[in-house]
Amino acid sequence: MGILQQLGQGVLGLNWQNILMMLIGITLIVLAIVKEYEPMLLLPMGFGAIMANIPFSAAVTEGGFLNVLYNAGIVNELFPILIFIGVGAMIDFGPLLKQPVMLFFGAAAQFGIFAALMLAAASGQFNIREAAAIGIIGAADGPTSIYVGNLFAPTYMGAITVAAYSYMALVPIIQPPVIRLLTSRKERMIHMDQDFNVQISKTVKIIFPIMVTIVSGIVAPMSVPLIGGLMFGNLVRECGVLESLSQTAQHELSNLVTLLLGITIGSTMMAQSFLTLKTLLILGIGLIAFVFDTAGGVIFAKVVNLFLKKKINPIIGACGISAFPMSARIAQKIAQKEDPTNFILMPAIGANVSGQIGSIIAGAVVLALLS
Amino acid sequence: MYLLNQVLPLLTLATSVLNPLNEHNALLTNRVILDALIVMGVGFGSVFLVLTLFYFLVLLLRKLFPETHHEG
Repeated sequence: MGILQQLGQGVLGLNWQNILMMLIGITLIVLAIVKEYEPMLLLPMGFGAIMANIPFSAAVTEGGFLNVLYNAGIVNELFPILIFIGVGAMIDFGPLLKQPVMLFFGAAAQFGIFAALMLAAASGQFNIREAAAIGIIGAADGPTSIYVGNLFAPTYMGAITVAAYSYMALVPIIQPPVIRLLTSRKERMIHMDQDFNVQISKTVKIIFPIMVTIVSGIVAPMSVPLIGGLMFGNLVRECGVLESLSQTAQHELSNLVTLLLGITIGSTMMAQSFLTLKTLLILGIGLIAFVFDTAGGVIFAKVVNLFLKKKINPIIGACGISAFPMSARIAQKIAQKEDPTNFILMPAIGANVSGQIGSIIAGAVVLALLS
Repeated sequence: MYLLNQVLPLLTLATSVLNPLNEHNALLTNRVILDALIVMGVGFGSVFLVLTLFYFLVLLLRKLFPETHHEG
């Protein structure tokens, strides 16, 4: 009888919450495979959620492999930083160095973070640190969201991560209507004064990541792990003598850590902490954060245009979020739809990589202010 | 400070409506909103400041180390 009871404990322990969470996991997997929404993250997350919500799952008990991964890579922030090394190795800051003015769009498009923080705070459901972690969804930057979420709101990390990655995948759906709403056809047809004949020396490309790390680190020491990881990866790429390491960081390291990160984050989506109204609230505020990011960038470009002779296409402003390179591609698509001869891809990429730096700085500033 | 003193009672009233559990909760929410406002102002300002600094540093770097030959 005892043996039978032990064999049947999984069935007996099953409740509607577990089943719903497993269905959510399956939904994430379907979205990853069928819709190709951030499949590298959503598929492992979905599977992690399924494994974590099987009653008495040995994967998430003390010593279970998902628990070991969580302690080894999330609690100590290792995985997000390793991801950043890979991302840094993938990014070419050339377009930004050619048009450094794009840095301002990387700052303006962080508005969504702070707008979402305000909303989360005003909801009365979260303390200020939790509100900040929710706001960071607006960074449109998965590793930064995980980094801040783990420190400030570990209970809601599953919801925060799902929101961050899902909305990043949904950028092609979220951004265009906001851009169209805030810009006229005439504005969307503005041709950018291309300043891309400027050649950037290798020395500048090598010094840039070192300089950014030092300056950011001095201004916000909390940013050193994240910005340091990103810029280290970029230095490996740009130095020209570590080609095989650069390739490893871009492919093997990124893929391996993404795999482990996804499944580990998925395992934090336990029914008791995920199936709450607060999760819905986090998902809603996260969506608003992306909308405000886009609006912040576009409105900033329109304001700047008031003072410029050579106007900037305000679509570029929307690329200040760090969803790279999706946001830049969308900008180009919208601009070309209005005028097939309009090419704004390079400045859009410049703003997009600037958003990557801006989001990390924003995350670090929030950490510094509330730690 | 004067402005804050004027705004806080209004926030209390507003959040009491939003979160009608009790006045204590509303006051706590006020505190969070106030903190959020400060983080928003200082945080957003700092992001702009740091990236503005990068803008000038990039211009300086480009001036100090110009590209000496063109490819192609």
